[in-house]
Amino acid sequence: MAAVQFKAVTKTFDTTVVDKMDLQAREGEFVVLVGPSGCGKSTSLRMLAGLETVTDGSIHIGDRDVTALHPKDRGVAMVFQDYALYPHLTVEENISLGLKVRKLDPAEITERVASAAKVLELEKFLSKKPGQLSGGQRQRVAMGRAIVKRPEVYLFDEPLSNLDAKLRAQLRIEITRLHRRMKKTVFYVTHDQVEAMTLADTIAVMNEGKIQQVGPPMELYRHPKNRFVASFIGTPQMNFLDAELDGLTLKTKIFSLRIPDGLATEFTDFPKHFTLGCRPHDISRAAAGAGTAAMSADMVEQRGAESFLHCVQDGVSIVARCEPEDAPSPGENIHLRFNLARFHYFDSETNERLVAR
Amino acid sequence: MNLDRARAEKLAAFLFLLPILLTLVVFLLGPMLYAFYISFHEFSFMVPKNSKFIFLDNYINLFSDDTFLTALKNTAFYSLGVVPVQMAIAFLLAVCVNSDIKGKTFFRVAFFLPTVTSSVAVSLMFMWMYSKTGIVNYLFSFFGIPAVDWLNNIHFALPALMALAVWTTVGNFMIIYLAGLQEIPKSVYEAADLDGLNAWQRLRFITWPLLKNTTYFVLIMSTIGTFQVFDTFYIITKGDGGPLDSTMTVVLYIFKAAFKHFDMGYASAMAFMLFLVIFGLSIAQRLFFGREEEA
Repeated sequence: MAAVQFKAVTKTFDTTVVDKMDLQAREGEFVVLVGPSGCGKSTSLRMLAGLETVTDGSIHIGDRDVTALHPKDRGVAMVFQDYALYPHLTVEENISLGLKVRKLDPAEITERVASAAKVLELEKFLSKKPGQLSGGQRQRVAMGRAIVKRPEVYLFDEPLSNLDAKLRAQLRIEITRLHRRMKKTVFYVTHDQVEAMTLADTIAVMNEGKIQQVGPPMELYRHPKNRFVASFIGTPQMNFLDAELDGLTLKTKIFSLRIPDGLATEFTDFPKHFTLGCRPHDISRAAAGAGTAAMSADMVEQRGAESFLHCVQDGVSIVARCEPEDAPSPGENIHLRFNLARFHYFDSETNERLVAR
Repeated sequence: MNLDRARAEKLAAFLFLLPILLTLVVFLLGPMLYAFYISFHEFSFMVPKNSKFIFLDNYINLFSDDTFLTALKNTAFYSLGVVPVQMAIAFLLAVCVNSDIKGKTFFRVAFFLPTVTSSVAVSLMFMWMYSKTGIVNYLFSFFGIPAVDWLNNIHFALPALMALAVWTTVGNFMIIYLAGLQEIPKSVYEAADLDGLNAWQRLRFITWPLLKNTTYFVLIMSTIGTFQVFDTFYIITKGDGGPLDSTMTVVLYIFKAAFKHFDMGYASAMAFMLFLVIFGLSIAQRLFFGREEEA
């Protein structure tokens, strides 16, 4: 039995924002909904929370159909992007208000608030008001407010996007730890694929209201089902080239490679023209030779541990990874070698993956 | 060089400010100080130099002037009646037009319209409505209540004017409350939904406390406004606060003393008494609300 299940869920405002979405999460699973802005990920989460109505389909938590339930009756707690703290209440009151209106035993409330404050290191701030806290502390308070409710499902709506990069990295780790400790189902929405990759047990990539692919992070990275997922997961983005097969030779505008005999059978059903995808990490600098591409280095993006070369040739742009000490100067002519074993192939018309491995 | 430049800039700033400073001094600060000065005199309108310094006599006389005491009492009664009702209605209207009801723009405009309508037009309209054959009596007649000449009855004239005041000014305070409501992020209410707060608890634990500063502002403005009320009273009672001073307010009496009895010194003393009352009330309200520093 899935802990959370979306069954053909559709949401229509003026246009259809979420289109027949099917998604399920096991109990205790950390699911990240990721996609560009406007893809329907936040709306999906808000439907699960009960903050948006469902136009069609149903949502289930455990064995209950929660589609028509009030948010407070769904057993969910949510952490908002802007924290949504009550500005006039202290941290302690913020965390405990939800328990107070549920008329929990005061001793129980005190105990839950104290334990949440300990886990989130908020003990020093309990009597402060949100206005006196930093962004990271406020987000911890918001998490505390969720934790004390002991929900079945945690919902996070881009909780880190208002924080600076350093704090974001730190809270990512804290959220992972929390999840490991609580062992509860988490639905987490973000537009940041790094966040998705680092946090998720399962990533669901969304675009234009539809789920593109669901799977573990590395599965999505290694075997993207279509060109959208391929381009969305991984940074820098995957390179795409128009390619064609000429016998057993793979031809693009900038290089040609002979396909080893052992792999030939994989290409038997290929159309003549298709799209080839290759990640920057699967391209390297090489000496001139057969199968390499002669290109002109345009710009070098330094990342410290590695560098990314932005190269151009005949109107084709390629990003390749290289060691920092290997980085050419702008304008230099260089050669790149593409790792055929790591190529991805997509239908140029449908953008779907060719060759199911 | 730099010093010259700084001085030139200061001079330029001063020159830019000069027109408004002059206006303020000539038409506001000057008259205020002069009024303060003549409030200690028996002031002669015709021959100012014949004015006589009488120190606090004007102020002392106020306390034995029945009309002034009646005016003060009327004004206080008027304020005590209008302010809470006005604030409560303004708040409720704001909550209503801030919700997702149909035609909320229409209601916002409709409620605000009286505020921007000329007080003369409003007064005339209410005079018709309150007249013996007017719509108010017509509506009451359905309940078997006999017709009353509202504005000429010493018991009903002031309450009738209070109702008018609420109607004309409530839209203004509704807009201020509405602005306050719209400052509250939607996500805070969503968090409250997930926390399980019902509609009453949302109002009690979120909306009302977050509108504390707005409420304080509305309270002060409403109080000051009611203590300074003049125009509608002047038009409806034709300037004499009738019947039998039952609608005499402080400002109306100041006007009467100054421009009908030509007793400028006395009128000025009253004006300063009114100032002290309003000032005192504002301070008291500030203390009551305490300091609020949080965002």
